[in-house]
Amino acid sequence: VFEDFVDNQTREVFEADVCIIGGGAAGITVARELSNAQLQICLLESGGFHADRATQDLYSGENVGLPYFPLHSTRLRYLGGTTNHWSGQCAPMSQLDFEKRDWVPQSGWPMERADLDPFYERAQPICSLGEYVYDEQLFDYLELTQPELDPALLKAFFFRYSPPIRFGDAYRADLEAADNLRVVLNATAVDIKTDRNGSAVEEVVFKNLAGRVGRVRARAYVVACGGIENARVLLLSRGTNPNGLGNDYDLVGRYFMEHPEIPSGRLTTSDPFPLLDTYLRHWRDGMQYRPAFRTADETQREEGVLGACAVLEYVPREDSGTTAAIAIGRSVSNGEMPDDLGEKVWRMLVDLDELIPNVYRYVVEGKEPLAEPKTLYFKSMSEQAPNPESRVSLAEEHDALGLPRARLRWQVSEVDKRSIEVLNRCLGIEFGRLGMGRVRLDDVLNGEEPFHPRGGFHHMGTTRMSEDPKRGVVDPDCRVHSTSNLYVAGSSVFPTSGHVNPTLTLVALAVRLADHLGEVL
Amino acid sequence: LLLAAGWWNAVSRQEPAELARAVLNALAPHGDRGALSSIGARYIACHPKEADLQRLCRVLVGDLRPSDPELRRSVTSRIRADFASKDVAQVDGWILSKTEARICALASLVEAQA
Repeated sequence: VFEDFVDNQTREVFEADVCIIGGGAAGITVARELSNAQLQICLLESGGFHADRATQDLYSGENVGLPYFPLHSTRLRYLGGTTNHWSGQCAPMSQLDFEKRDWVPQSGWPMERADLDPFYERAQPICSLGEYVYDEQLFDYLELTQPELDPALLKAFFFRYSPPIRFGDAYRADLEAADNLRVVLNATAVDIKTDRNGSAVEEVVFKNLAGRVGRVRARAYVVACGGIENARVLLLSRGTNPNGLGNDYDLVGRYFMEHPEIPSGRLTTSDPFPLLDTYLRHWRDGMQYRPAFRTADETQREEGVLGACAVLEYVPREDSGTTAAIAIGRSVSNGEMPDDLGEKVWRMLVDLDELIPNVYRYVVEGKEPLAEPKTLYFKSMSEQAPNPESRVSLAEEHDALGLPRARLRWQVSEVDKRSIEVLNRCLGIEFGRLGMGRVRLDDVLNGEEPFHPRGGFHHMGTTRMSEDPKRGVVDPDCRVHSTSNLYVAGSSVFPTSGHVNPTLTLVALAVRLADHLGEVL
Repeated sequence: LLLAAGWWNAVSRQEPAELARAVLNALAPHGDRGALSSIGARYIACHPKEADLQRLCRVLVGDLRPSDPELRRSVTSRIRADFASKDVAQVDGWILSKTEARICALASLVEAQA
């Protein structure tokens, strides 16, 4: 059931068993999973059903570290949260990602991949991803030739793609229909109030943009606002500890991780088409797949590097007739007149040698058209070494609700870069051995240019999980160590980031948290 | 063995630059010599001991003649073997087999002598 706090008739005090702060992938998943239990749930969502500028501005903040995207552009503040601009790329983290690795300080999850597997499996349909299969067996299923990689160097795996699911749209009807679930829209949590010694939360205070104040009193509370905002919400709750709630050991906001991403290596090959046919996206039975490469565990151990993965990308030659035809097709399907129509049609006419086989591919074989590539390259994404100086803190500037904005100091380290370099060196060796081409590492990896990677809007680690309260904000059940009834959902609990997109893992953890809450409440 | 020794004796009496050009023509007939030479110069800068025309020719050609059609097959399989045994060189970002790096080095030395 939805209630809109913009409406002055809406009540100001809500009672529930569970209060969830944040209606994104994690919050909605916890709410839906719990809606089957005999529990009353109240979910606070800062925005409404659609984006609006004033609410979105609450996400603006400062970047004082590496160049990074404006903070308000990396996440969305309305029902469904950041899934509203999600690309849908998913894969589970590997077993090694969960292990304590001697060469990665602060590594090790308090669980194994096998412990999370049942929850990954349950996360699959939630993200509309089909079967829980990501390994090499998909080469057979997709009728692709599997590369005979040296298992000590490289491992192939697949990304799978959610359509992507926009959680707000996809699950709005479920949220509406659940009698035991109240979703309060336009309700921004501004303070989590605890008892005198901070050992239990007593209520969450929230406001709408006009300053109207509401409260939720519950038996358990889940902060599910995203990897930057989870830390901010705890840091803002300073009723008992001036450093913020759950921050007895100065860990909240620290260990911020992204997935550094760069075009990492150019591939030169005499025959690009078989490679593109294999390594670009594939559609089968309504699902999308894409093969990728990751550094083998053995190489990570030997070289002392982190996990990293790469996919093959290409840039078509500028005068390609196929590219012109695709551009015309896209414009027409959007109901628009293409730019430079005459020039594009001319390019199609003079490039029939390329265009006609592509028409066959598309119409008869049902495959994506492939323009002749000008450049083939690997795009790599690496894990980041946990670093306490890479962090979220509170800025001097305040938002429209009078609260300090988030300040992000994103840092990368030498090993983050070296992890991408080692992966691409392995790609160079293996592509050379298999006669698939030669790889030239990007100048960044040759040390000729500074390492200023992009991120993927993946915000992780700021309320990390550990059995030891001195090393983590939350325990293995995602409960804040210092506070008996406060939990955190989302990628902020990741102690290490892995080298794949975080959404599937955070949804799996949200399912696991909902099970836990169902048991303890 | 006697035949091979005799052949190498004859070859070694050949002008080194002439032999190197013949080897290069056999191994990279259509290659972009400028690019090969530039990569080769970088390789030699890191491995100065490789700046020896005669030695490079010997290592690349073995007991074959530059005109022997077997030469390219033999070098191709050596390149694969280099990659398989991770005997590679990183030159100007390129991940090359040691044999490929030596061909580039040869191109660089030949160009320097031209």
